[in-house]
Amino acid sequence: MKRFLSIFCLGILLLSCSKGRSVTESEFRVELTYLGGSRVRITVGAMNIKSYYSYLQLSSQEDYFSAPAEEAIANSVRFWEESLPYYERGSFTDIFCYRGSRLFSITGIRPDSDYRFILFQIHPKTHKLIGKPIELFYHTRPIPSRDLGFEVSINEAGIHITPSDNSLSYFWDYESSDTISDKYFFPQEYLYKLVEMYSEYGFLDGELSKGRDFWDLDQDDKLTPETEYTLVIAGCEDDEFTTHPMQLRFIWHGPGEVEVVEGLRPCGINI
Amino acid sequence: MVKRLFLHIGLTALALGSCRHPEVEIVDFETFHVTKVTSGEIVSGGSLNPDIRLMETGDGEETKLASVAAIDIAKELLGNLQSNRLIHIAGTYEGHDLDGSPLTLSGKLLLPARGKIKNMIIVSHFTIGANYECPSESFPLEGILAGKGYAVVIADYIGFGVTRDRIHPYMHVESTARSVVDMALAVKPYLEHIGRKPESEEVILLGYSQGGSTTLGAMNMIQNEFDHVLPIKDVYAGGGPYDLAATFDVSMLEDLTGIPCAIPMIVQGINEGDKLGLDISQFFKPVLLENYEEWINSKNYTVKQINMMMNARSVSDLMTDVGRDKKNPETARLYKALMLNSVLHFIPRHPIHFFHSTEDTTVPFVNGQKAEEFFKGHDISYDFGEYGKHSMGAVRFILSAYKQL
Repeated sequence: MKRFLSIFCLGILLLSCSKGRSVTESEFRVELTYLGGSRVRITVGAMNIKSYYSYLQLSSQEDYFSAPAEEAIANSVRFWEESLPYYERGSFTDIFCYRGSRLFSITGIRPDSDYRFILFQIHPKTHKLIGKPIELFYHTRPIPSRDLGFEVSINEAGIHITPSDNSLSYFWDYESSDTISDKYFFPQEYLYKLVEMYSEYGFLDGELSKGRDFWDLDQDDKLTPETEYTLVIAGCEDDEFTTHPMQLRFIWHGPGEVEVVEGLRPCGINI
Repeated sequence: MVKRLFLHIGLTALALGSCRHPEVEIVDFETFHVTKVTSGEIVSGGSLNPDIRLMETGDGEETKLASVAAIDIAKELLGNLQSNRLIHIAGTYEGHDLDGSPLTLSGKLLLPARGKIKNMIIVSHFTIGANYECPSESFPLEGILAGKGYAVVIADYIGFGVTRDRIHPYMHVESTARSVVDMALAVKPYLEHIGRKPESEEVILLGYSQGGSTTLGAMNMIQNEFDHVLPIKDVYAGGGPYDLAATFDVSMLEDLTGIPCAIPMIVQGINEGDKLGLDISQFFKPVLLENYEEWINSKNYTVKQINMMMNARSVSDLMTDVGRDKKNPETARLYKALMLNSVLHFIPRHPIHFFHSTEDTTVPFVNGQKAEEFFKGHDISYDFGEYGKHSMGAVRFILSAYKQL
């Protein structure tokens, strides 16, 4: 399958009875349904919706990457138990475990890197491992780093974008700076979430640009006078960013009146 | 256990009084002036009436619990709630319009007739269609919580109550949450003025379905802006479309919706709330385009009645091919707005109790799962189980909160 590497694991977890309450053995199906450079999607099929389980995602740079799964799990569970007194309402299973079939979307991972995913059933009371963990090893896709820059100018006519290479695709958007900071904290986080959403629901290809682009601000009914907006832009191919995201801030004073308050600069780097 | 719970609530409700036609004070919460005192009137034969507002989604209410349908449980419960032992205060307050300018809004405050008040419960109401179902005009099911010694505050969203002539910005998180928070801020000094100040400054937030989402929006707003004025004790959110884009996309993909009227209500509501300027004729099929003003915006019909008039089960019955086309940039803009109106992108600083029925086909369970995955590691409890369809879930949710409070 193009762009998709599907790895299928079937594990039957045996066990178990502990002192007091017995927990029935459960079967889980774990499948890597999307493997990208910066995110993966892992589907967990739980045959028994009442069984609790959790997972670990380890990068090759972490200490427990090469350790036996049981040891990595024991280390995490011990840490979780130690942190439990800091919670008022949620139980151990509420805070650290799942039940039922899920689609986990794991983001913020590094391209061209090794990862290990460990899914394990856990006893809700004793927190002991039940049965044998299911393991999945994968290597994230490399993301091409493109030599793509942008010139962005904003004037009374609208937004003009000129990429340095007309053959490469890119994604751009703008939103009020307050909305971005309220909901996503940082412009790059907003950009990542928007692209992820468009990718997940099948919009992204239609939203990419190539070559010069222009947007007439007067056709945007959503603009509010005297409001600051942040424009975000990055190279984008195959649902992944190929350049570091850039941002630019402007104030829309009203129809035909725009003021750039901060020029184009890399996101996340304060100048 | 469930039977015991119903019995407990039934007995509590019975103890509350003897009259089913409560007096309702009409108050200006800003000036504290009582402008009118009316008597609640029951409309016979209606599935909903101004005195008792239950939830309906058109899901058929097939799911039974202990051989009793959800609506029967709730009606019996409320029938036993002889509500003159609660004080009903409908009133107006200064809220905010979509652009942030001042706007007079309305809502309902319910208090126990006597005794101390423990906390204020800020309720965000679930989806309604008719204006006579709105909190200021009815007795909302959530009002039973007042019987346990709480001041229950329930705002009408923009588009209901005194603003019934306006389009309701359905699922627009900023404006709906703002109305909820504004009313709580207005009611707080009013309670002090009438000598019913709660013993604790801490507030409890609660909402189901649309109200579940709005509750999280209100929580985020309070955390950011009013944490010192309305410190949050607990939050109860049930059956909410927290991830609006995911919810909408499930309907788009499956070409099926458990609540047909929600499709145009979302498109119109987000378009109105976010001033998207979408050309609605690009989205609504002719039969919907010709009738949505009457069906939805007249506020004359309940959700069930609107669904019956629409006579649709699939999204394609309601939305045009262009509106459903994911290459259409206007549809992409709608999805972006849906994403921005999803309510999971914040860090909760107070406990939340999530409730969702895995059998919910109106607001798919994927919303409960998304919430759990997003908030994992925070101080949050999850009550997910086979609790019937959406309407049954509403009753179970409120009863569950009733038991915990």
